[in-house]
Formats: sequence, structure tokens, C-alpha cells
Amino acid sequence: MNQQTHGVEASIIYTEDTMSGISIGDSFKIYSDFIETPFYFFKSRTIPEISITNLSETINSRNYNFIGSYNQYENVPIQYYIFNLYNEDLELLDTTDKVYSANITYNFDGFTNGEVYYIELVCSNQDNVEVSTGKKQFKADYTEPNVDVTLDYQVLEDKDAIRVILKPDKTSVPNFDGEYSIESNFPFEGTNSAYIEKGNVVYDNVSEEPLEIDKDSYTVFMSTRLNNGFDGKIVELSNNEESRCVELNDYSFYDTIRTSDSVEETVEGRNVEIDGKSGGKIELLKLKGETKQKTRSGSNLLKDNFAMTGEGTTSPTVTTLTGQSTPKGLGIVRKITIPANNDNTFYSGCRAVTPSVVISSINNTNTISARIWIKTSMIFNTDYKIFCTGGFGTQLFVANISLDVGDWKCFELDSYTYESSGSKNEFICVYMASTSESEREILVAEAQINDGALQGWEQYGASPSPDYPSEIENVEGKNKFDINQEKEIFGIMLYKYSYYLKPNTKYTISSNCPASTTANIYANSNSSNSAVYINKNQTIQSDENGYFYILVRFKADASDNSTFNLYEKVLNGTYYIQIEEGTVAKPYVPYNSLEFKVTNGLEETDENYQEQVVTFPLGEEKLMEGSYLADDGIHHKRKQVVFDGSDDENWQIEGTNNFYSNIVIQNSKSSSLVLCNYQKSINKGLGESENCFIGTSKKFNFQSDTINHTVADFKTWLSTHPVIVEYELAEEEIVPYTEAQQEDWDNLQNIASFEGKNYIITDPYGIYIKIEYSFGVTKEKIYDIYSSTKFALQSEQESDVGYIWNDSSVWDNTKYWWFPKENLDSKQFKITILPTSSSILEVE
Amino acid sequence: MILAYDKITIYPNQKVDYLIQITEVASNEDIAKVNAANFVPDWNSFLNRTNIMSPYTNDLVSSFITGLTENLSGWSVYRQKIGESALEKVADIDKSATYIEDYCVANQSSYRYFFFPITKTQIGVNLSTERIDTNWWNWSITSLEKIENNVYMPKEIWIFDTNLESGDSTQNLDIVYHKNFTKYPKESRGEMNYITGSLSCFLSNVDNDSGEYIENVDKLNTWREFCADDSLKVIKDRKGNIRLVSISDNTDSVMDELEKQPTTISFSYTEVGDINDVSVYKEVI
Repeated sequence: MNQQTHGVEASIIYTEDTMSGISIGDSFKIYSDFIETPFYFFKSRTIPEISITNLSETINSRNYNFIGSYNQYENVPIQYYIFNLYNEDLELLDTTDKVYSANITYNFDGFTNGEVYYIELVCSNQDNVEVSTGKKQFKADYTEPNVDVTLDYQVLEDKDAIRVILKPDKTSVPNFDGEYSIESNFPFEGTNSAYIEKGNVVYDNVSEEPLEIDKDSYTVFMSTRLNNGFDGKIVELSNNEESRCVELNDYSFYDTIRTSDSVEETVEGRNVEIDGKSGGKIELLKLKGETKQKTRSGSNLLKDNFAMTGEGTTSPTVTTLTGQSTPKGLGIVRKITIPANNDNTFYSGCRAVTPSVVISSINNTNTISARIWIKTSMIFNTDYKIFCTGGFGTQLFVANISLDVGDWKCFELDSYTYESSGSKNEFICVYMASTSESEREILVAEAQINDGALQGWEQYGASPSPDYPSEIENVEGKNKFDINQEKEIFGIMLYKYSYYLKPNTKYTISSNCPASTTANIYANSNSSNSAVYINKNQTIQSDENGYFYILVRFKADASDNSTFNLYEKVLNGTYYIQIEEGTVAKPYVPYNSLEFKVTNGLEETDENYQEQVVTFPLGEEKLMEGSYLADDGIHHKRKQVVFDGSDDENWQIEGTNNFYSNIVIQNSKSSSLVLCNYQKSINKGLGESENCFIGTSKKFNFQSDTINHTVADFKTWLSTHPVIVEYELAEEEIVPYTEAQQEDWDNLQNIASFEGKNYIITDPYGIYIKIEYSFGVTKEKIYDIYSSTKFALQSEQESDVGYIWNDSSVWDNTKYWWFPKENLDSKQFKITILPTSSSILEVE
Repeated sequence: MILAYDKITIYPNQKVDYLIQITEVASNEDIAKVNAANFVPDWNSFLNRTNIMSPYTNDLVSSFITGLTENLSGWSVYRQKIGESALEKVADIDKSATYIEDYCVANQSSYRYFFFPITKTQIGVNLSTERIDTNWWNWSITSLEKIENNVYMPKEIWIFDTNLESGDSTQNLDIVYHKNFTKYPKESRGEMNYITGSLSCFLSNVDNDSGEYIENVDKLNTWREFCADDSLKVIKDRKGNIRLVSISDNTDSVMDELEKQPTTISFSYTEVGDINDVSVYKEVI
């Protein structure tokens, strides 16, 4: 028995007899006839498997990177590999020799098209077992470029060498008689320029042939940068007899420009969209308030809530139904019931008639218009007629259906204008002549008689006025609930918060407080059905005075474990309560807070959706027309004051209808128009029957013929009709930020843009914002500006259509000017850089 | 007959980014192309209509090679000695090269050069010169500047063609004969196998134009510096030998009997490497 060692772990044991049954990992004891040998330990290993993994029959390139793989079942690591490359005759062309790496690759550059090669991979592992893939044949196959170059040569006897010269088929070799240098990577990276300092560059041959430029068919393009003060020829085409050139005289330009790294832009609007960059700065420059008030001219002389009466031979009845659902929301519906066997003759048939209206004829013409909604499932045109009668006689109109909303049809009467003089009794009559249905619901929602021409559809009554007030709307936060506002105790465990907001308006109350068997929040009722808790919102409607209330528990009910002191938990921020206009509960914002949301423009459901939300608490402030947020606080150009008839307002009367508060309103603008919820402001002085203003002594004046003409009556009226006046300030007032406002203002300044589109949304909708944003960090730079001039000189054409060399463009920090053709011969230029602009140049 | 323009002149005091002349009135497409802010012209910009194209990439000269499907990366240059089948690699040269000078050529020999255009993935159809015969009546010795392993460029070239007198040339071998008790000695042979030789000649040569021998003392000093320089040298004789050598010694003497007092130099050289293992060339772009 012999042992032959192969490395540390491997041995070959030779025995006299053939052995069988050896398996991997077995240990053996080998006995002789008489002598027991010592233990010989050895391991048997599987032969490694190697291959060239990316070898194909042909390769289509002059170079190739061969990749080998090595696998050994028992994970014996590779020691080294060798790649051998042979030619068709199996002569060794190249070898890697031993490469001690497990990354088996070999790159060869120089395969000739059409040649056959052999490649062999040899690997040896750490047991010194060497395996080979054998020689694998492949062929190089690709389309050889056949270049158009000729070779020339010279034997250099002064150097004892041979020069071989490459001669491309196209060459431009100029003659040069001065000095020049090549400027690399200019005017921008990857390009070069020749700076011609002295002498001329003359092209008089091309590809070693004499130059011959057909004068009818050529273009010379040139881009050049001229020295400041350049004076003379730039380029010239010539022969022995004539020439054509581009020439400039006293060319001058400023040579620096101040700009910045980043693009800055200012946008303004209500909700804006900008292009941003990740982390780009968005600076909120201004957040402007606004004042809105709905007004009516009063030109409609027909009251909304007019009664209608039935007329006709068979005496139809008209019933007025209020709070009915109509195409315009809740409205007044008149139901006319027409008895059977009605007479459908014109005039004498059944009809619903509006009351007559006394027209004070200021104008000599009146206009009658009507839109009449009739609820019916029938489709008809001619059975329903509208006619008007009065001092002008009678006029019949066949109305056409102009709108069709569900069961409601709208018949529209075009404006009928007629001459009038003096006071007239006019009325609109809706003539019902159907025989097929006995009942109709009609709504004369928009009938109107105008003094003068129709100014547009509006309701009866000038507004604002004592009878038809109009709220002044300013920019305020959507959440009306303030835990700290005045409240009263309701029962023994609830606080009652009362609200006077917009009349007949829907409000939604929401909260994240947990559900409970007994409510912790009640909306406008103490019924359990009005409970508010998380995901259980309540929408209520304010009454005609805008009133509603909510109840908040401040003491837990000892008999009900689900109740707790919600008041305290809202106070400490554990839970919130939100009251907002509308029927939808939107995400919570603190009391009277503005909300700014910057999104990346995707749907909220999109996984890549991103947003930043910053709120700003207005507190007791509201943003009126001219108000805006700035670094030092809230700036106001207007202010509001409320008159409720209290004695300190010191009301006086002047004349018969002018009440004035004998108190100087400090910092108000004297003799100015105002906004008022109960009166229009049309004149800065006396003389009107209905008017309000601030007089020359900065006192508020309220004129009205409709209110009893004593101070006491007026104060009584005021006590139930608080008058809100928004007036202009003589000087802007600044209300410094509270600590909380300052913090959120700073947060607003730190909003960063997202990459790509950014949508900046404000809530409440409609806040006017002005923002500046930049694509990165703003950094000022001063660039050198080179007056680079691109132009074309070409054969003179009869028609130069399309010859457009009057554009300019900016690339990198270089401005390119294109000379119009008419300027080619001679033109004095001066380029001026506007001092505040980033990249605008002007040519004089 | 309308006389064509035969000259385009560019005047000084300007930095010219490019000048292109095409053989047609520019179309709107051409204008739009040039109008692009980042337009960088080349011969392909206007295809076959381009007559003059000067992007001033490296100098005022511009050239263009047609027939390529990919951009040219460079050239592989090979030399074939007439009578031999193998090609010897001379160099890989830049695509912008205008010529190459090969210094590994011997006198009284004939060569042919092959240029293979190289693109990123292809080797093109080769171009070849016609047969080039060398025949000069001088000796030369050139010092070399190493570029990379086995690649050199010529540094200084000395040509000697006056009063040449070749010395003996010796082939140096490492053979030792061990005397035993046998009839013949036992031979022991090393790897050593190199040539030593010498040359004696005038330091300078007769000027071709004046027909006079011109030499000054500075030239001798320069020659001595050349000999002392430790760079490799290539020596070529009139017979056609070319060897990679170093100069091992150098003597000089002045011939006072002649008016010009020519200096006769005598130097010995020792072969230090195989000339076939190196490339000596100069590439000009």
C-alpha cells in the first residue's frame, strides 16, 4: 500500500486490490494480512464543473469579454484559472497565465473579422485538481468598415526612419500667416475655438483641390466671438475680381453679467401650481386677505315671496308651499289646482296671477322677464303660456322650455320692453291651459319686472339694506369652534356654545373623540341622535338668524363609564372639535386657522403622494381686503367696527334720516365709503335716502328712510340688527404675531418644494397668495459674457424667405446673437445688460 | 461666365468657434440645426454638402474619413518585412493622427505597412502601403524615450556619413569548457548572446547645401552628453543591421592637419536588448 499526498487534505491511497463502495466523507481503516497500518485519512471530492458561460459560435465584435464559471459540489474553492486563446491552427495567441481569482473573466481585443479562434478555460482548485473546458471554437463575424483613406510614405534619410502618412478623403487645410492658439472647452465643455491674434486664415483649397465656391449656391456658417471694440472685417469671400464680406464697426458690449445659480420665480393667485425641485425653497411673500359682499341693485321690482291668486272662469285655487325642493334648492312652490272641465281659452282659462306692482317710473321703459318653473312629467310647449297685462295692454308670450331638471321644466320669457310713464300697475300672469292634468306645482322663482332695462337676474330688494342685509365675508379659518370662547352651562354636565353665523346655512360638526353610549358632543340639540364622535359627523342648519349651538361635556356622568370630561381633553389637545360650513367634514385645522398644503400633484391614494401642511392661526383676526401676512405681523388696511345701539356709541340724528355715531373712529379715513351689512355705501356725504359712509370728521353716518326717525327707535333697531362696518384706515396697522402665530409663520417660510409639479392649495379656498420659489439654493454669481456671434453668409437669393437670423439664444453663459441679413454689411452694435436681470441683454 | 469665389479669409482679433462652408443655400432645416444653442459642427452635420469644415478641434486643419459605420477610435499599425510572412505590431495610434514615423526599420530592407481602422466594436478592412525600400548611406544612432513598456519614441538622432570606419563586431557568448578525463571537454552554455562593436567617423557631416563640412565645439559636447545619457539607443549601420544598444565608451581626436579640424569620434556599443521586442515611433496629430 502506498500513499501519495496531494496537498494538505487529499491523498491517493494505492491498494493491491481494487476497492469499491467508497463514498464521499467515509473514513477507512486499511488492514494488511498481518500488519495493521496507521489510519490514513483522505477525502474524496467531486470533479469541479467549469464552463465558459457566454461563449457562442460567433462573436460580433473585435473585442469580447469571456466569462467563466466554476462549481465544485463540496464547495472547494477555486485556486486559479487560465484562459488560452488559439488561432485556427491551434497556435497559442494569448494567455492569461494563472490568475488567482474567483472572478473568472478574460477580455481580448483584436478579433479579426472572418477568423476562426479557439478558447480554453483551465481551472485549478485548492485541492490542486485541474480541469479544462477543452478548446472551444468560435468565429469573429462582423461588418468591417472600409474606410476611405489613402496611405502615403516618405523614407526619412535624415532620421533613418519611414514616415507613413494618413490622407483622409476630405480635408480643410488653410494657409496661415500670423499667430493663433486653440482654446479648449470653449465656449462650452467639449468645444474648442481658434483665437486668431494676428494675420489671416485663408482657405483656398479643400481636400488638396483648389477652392471653387459657386456664387449661386453656397452658405458659410460661422460662430465667432469678437474682441470688445472690434472694428473691421470678420470674414470675406473673394476672387481676383470681387469680394463679399461681413464687417462690423465699433463693436462693443459689456463683459460681465450678474446672475444666480437658481431659477427664481414669483407666482400669485389663489391656488397655484409651480415647478419645483426636491428641497427647493418656497418663500411665502404675501398672503392677502379679501372682502366680499353679495349685493343686489334692487332693479327687480317684483318681490320673491309674492302671493299668487287663481283666476279664471272655473276658479282655480293656488296653494303656497314653502320649503319645497326645487331646482334652485329650497323655495316657495305654488300649487294650482284646476277644476275639471276647465276652460282653456286664453284669458278666461285658469291661471295663476302675480300681484300687481306699482312701478315708479324713473325710466320711461320697463322690462318684464320671467322664468317659470313648472313641475310636470309632461313635455309640452304650447299649453303653458305666460302673458303680461297692465297699462301697456296685454302681451302674450309663448314660452319655450329652456331648462329641464328632473320633473321641473323651466319656461323662460324673454325680456319684453315697453314704454311707460307715471305709476302703473303691472302684473305677470301665468296662464294654465292644460286639460289633461288637473294639478300643477309651479314656481315663479325668477319673475321680475325691471325699472328700465333688465340688468340680469336677481332677487327682489336692494341689498345690503335694512330689510335685505348682506354679510361681509372676509378670509377666516374654516374651523369656527373655539374651546375658549364664551359659553354657558347647559344642565349640570354640559357647556353650551352658541353661534351666530350665516343664516339658513349648513354647518358640519366633526370630532375625533371616541364613541360613547351617552354623547360627549351634541350638535344643535340634546337628543342622542345629534351625538358627534369619531367618524360620526353631524350636519345642521343655522336658523334665519344664523343661530345654532353645540354642547360639550365637561363633567363625566357617574352612571356612564363612556363619558368623560371632553372639554378638558379638547383644551389639552387630546381631541378636537371642528365646525365648518358645508356638509362635508374636512381634515381638522385649529380654530380660525389658515391651512397651506403643498402636494406633489398626485392623488392622495397614490403611494408616491407627498404633502406638507402648515397652518396659521388667525386667532381673533380676520383678513380683510388689503390685509396680508408679513414678517412683522398681520398688516391691515381696513378695520371693522360693530354698532349695536349701546349708549357709548352716542347716536345722533341730523335732518330727518341721517343717524351718526358721534364718536371719532380713530385712524379711519375721513370722508370715505364703507362696507356695511345693513346698508349700501354710495356717497361720501349727505343727500341720499339710503346710504352710509364715514364723514369728514371720521364719524360713521347711517341714512335710511325705512327706519323710524328717532334716535331711540334707531338704537332699538340696532340692538337686534347689529351693524358691522368695514372702513378704510388712514394708515396701515400692524398687529404683531402672537407666539403661536410667529412659530407657524416661520414654518410657512420653510416650506420646500417637491421635485416636479407642486400644487399649493390654501384653505379656506380663495386666499390670495403670492409666493417666490427657487430651484435650489440661491447664490449670486458673476459670469463673463462673451459676445458670440453666429451668422450665415450665403449667396444672394431673389427670395430670402425663411432666412431667419434674428433669433438669439443662451447657452451656458454665452449669449449668441444672430445678425439679420440686412445687418451683415455693416452695423454698429451695443449690447447692454439690464442691471437687475439675470440673463437679459438688449441690443441697441 | 461667373467667376467662382476661390478664397475664404478670416480676419484677426476674433475667437472663431467654427467655420463651415456648404455647397448650397442653407435650408430651413440647416438653419434650425445651426441655430440650436449647443450646435457643435462636424463633417456629418451637412453630409456631402460640406466643403470646408473647421471646428478648430486641435488646429486650423480638419479632416474627415468616410466609410465608417461607427466612430473611428484609432488605428493599429503593423509592419511587414518583405520576404517574411509575419506582421510586426508598430503602434496603436490616435484617430486624429496624420502620420506615424517608424524608427525600427533597417537599411537595405523593404517593408510594407498595414493600417487597421479600429472602432469600438470592429476592426476595419486594412489599408496598406506599397513596398517601401530603405537605402541610406550612413550610420545612425538614436536615443529613446520610454513611453511605456517596450514602447519608445525617438529623442535624439545622430547621423554619421563621413569618414566612416566600422570596427570589429563581436558576438559575445557564455560558453565554458570543462576539461575532464574525456577526450573532449564538457561544454557549459549560458543564455548570453549579444553583439559588441565600434565605429569611427567624423562627428559632423558635409552640409548638403554648401558642400562644406561644418562642425563646432558645442557639437562635440552635445555628443558626449548623448553618450553619457543612460537612455537606450538604436544603432543602424549601412549594411542593414539594427540593434538596441548602449554606448560603452567614446573617444575623440581632432585632425589638425585639415583646415576645418574635423573631430573623429570612436565609440563602442554593446547590444542590450532585442530590437524586435520594442517599438520606436513618433505619432503626429
